Amino acid sequence: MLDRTRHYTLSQPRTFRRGPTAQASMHDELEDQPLHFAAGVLGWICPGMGHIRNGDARRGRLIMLGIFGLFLTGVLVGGLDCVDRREDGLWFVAQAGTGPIAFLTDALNTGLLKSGKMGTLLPMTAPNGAMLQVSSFKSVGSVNDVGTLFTAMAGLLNVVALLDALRGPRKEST
Amino acid sequence: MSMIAYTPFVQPIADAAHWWWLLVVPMCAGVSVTWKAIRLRALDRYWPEVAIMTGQLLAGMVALAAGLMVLVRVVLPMLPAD
Repeated sequence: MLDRTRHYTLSQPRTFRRGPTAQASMHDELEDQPLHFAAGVLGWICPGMGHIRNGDARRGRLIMLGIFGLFLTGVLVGGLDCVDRREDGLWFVAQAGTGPIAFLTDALNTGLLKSGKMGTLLPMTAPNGAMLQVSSFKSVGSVNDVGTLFTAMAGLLNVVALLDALRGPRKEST
Repeated sequence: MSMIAYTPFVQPIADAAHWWWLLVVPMCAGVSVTWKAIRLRALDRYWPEVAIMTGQLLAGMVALAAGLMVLVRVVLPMLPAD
């Protein structure tokens, strides 16, 4: 039996309230607040900046430390080649969560390594028989896997962080 | 010789292929640093919480690896071939 007594319209903001027996969570007080899109966009452009804009500077700095730490460790281990929009498209969807730094790394990979400006281009036969040229700085094997995983993890965590920043300032923050 | 020409953040660390599994420690630490910064309501016990979560993640991965090793080396060989 459908409950036809509850109607939602697009003009009314939808808030989901917990029942009286539900335990209060850390975000209960934020349910009725509007979304802070500027904080979300800032959080994508520079991880942690969304929280800093919301007045939570220490939290923002810690998020920045975590996201940039993961991303830079990944690039340090796997090299520029671990961020590749064309060859690893699905991984790049996750990596793009870190913001412009992922696109910059991909551009540097294309501009420096794939063009042969750094390292040397080596001939390689593709599985379909085509002749390719790959950079001598291309990362392969577990090193590439770890670098890709670190950078993708940073991107996914930054999506969580910017969704948190979208909710606006916390009432109790240190 | 190759390490002399090594360019950080451009070339991969060639030697890391031998100890890549150790990188699970900084990965767990990085995830914990970010996750606890997002989730904790108050940050006064931030670093102890990060240390606890890092330990939990590492323990979970070690347990998972041990379980998979038992499955592959003990359980699967006991199954009939046909």
